[in-house]
Amino acid sequence: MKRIAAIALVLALGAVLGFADETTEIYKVLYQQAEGLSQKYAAVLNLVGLNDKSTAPVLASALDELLATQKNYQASVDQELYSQTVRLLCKALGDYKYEASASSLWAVAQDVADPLTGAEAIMAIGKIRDLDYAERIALKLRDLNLQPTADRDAGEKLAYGCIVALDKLKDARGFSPVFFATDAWYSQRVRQQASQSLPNIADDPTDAIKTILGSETPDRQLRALMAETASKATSDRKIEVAILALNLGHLNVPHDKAEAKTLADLRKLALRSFIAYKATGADPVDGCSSSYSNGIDDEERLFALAALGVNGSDPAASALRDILLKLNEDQSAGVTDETRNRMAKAAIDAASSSKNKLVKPALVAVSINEKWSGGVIAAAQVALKAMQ
Amino acid sequence: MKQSIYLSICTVVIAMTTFAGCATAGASTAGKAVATTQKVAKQRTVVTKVPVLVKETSFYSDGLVDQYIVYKLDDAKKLLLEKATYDGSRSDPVERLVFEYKDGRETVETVYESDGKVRNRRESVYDDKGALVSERVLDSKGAIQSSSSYTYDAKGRKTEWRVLDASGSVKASTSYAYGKDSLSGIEMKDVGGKVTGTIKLEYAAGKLDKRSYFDPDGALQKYEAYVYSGELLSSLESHRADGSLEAKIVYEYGDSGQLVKASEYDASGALRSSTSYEYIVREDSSTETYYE
Repeated sequence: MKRIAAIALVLALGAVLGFADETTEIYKVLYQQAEGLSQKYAAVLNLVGLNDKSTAPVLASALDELLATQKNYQASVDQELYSQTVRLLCKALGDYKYEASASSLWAVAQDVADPLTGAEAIMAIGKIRDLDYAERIALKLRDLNLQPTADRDAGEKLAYGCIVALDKLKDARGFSPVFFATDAWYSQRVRQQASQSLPNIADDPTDAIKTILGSETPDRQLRALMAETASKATSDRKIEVAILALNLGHLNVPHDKAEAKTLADLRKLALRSFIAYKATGADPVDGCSSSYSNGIDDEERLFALAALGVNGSDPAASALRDILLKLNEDQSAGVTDETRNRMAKAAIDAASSSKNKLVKPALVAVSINEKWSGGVIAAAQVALKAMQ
Repeated sequence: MKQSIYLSICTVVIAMTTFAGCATAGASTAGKAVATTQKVAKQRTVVTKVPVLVKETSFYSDGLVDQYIVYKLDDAKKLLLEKATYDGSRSDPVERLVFEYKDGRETVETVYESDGKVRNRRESVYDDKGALVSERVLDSKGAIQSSSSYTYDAKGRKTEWRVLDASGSVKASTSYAYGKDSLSGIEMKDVGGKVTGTIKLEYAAGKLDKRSYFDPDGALQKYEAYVYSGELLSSLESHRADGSLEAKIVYEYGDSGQLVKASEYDASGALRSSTSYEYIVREDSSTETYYE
């Protein structure tokens, strides 16, 4: 039984891993002897069906030969067979990760008119992961993104190939074009592939995202920030981007209500990032204070208070102190409503979280102001006690 | 060229014992009674657990998934119905192979492209004994591209493989020679009967040990060395003609002897890629008779 099992294993391994055998040798010879495109196609069909890496040099030679003789196959029936043959070769060379064929594959992408074949060649370069071509593929996708090609279908196919290739190449240069492909003129299938590939392009896309934030529409700024938060960049890098996004979210002047909401979403996401990644120091403070003062709604203001609390630095604590003192002053002056009560409680919680003594005078002021409700006073007292 | 569904056969479990019958006999010798007892025939159900390959995943050397293949089986988990290849970056299969069977033998294999269109189709014909006698490859339009025919000796061993073009003309032939028990040599010839290469197979302790490739003039081109650990192949080395190592594949196995990982290294020992294999277990029941 064991012997049978072992033999079965050897046979199976041959099938699974594709070692050279007489089948490979025969079809190699048949390709080399093939005359005319039909025979070459038949030989290539058999060769790639072997799933044998050792055929790669022969396949690469075949591809070079077909590239050099492309002009001989101008008749439409020839062109179709030519494209099919080249496509089979490209796919197999990619599957076998045959690095020496990368330049030939790029030549296919440049010189062969059939877009499906071009896309297959580009995807094969991606599978080989030849980074020398990352920039060229990124630029090709960037150009495709700009406007629909004369033949939309052709442009879509090439764009799809570029996106898949850039996903495999994992080079930060691919981030921007794939980002813009997510909302370019393509069909849903291509845009979805771009969205799916985007998180895979670069572990830390921060630099590309900062560029996008600095020059794009609020909608794209928001998606860029979402991409950053979903990335594997370090917390510091994510905070860096959130600070920029929050500042831009305040600086940008919305053209309509929809844009105003998008900008608010951008600011809220930035504030949530501060809380999630525990942003400290002076840099985030101005943006947080602006969000508290000019926020679109209570949610934004509450996020701003929480972010200041998590921050805990002297500038953040000072900002919290000033907010609390102003609330307290207004309360003393008889300006009171439920929203302000809620803000006061949130500010007290944030002050407590800050664990910074700079907030103490404000907490004392609230705790002795009888104009506040019992709940607010109690919260201030608890916070004070916690700080001692 | 055919795909194997599973890679190993393993654990045997005795699941049930049934009483089948018994008999005793007595004999008398020189006034002295001697009692003999015949063995009792009993039956039991034997359950054999067979790992069945359902998924294989290929990785780049840095651990990134390159692609994975999902194997779809019939309800009995014996026949491979479909092999779908997925790229790690795409959600739809990039290629699908669909298999059809007749009398338990694979007769048609159809390859579909990522857009769902047929790329090509391979049809196989068997003789009464179940030996593959011919194959033909058709393109997406159903036109024959090439075909193969096989002949066998009285022992059922393949002796010749001929490749024919679309018009039915022989383009190449391969003959197989056997030693005592095993295939020992393969000779390949072109359309004119000229030898284009030979392969020599050598064995040690009944297992394939070395496979050497020679050019038409008989000069060694390359060879593969098989290394075993017990009964299982542990590595396969590919060497150039001068003996230098070109590449090496190392195999790892599970408890049941099933291949779970294959790692490919280059000549310097750097990992180039790896493939992991996942299985489900099929339980085959059979009844056997035993005596006690």
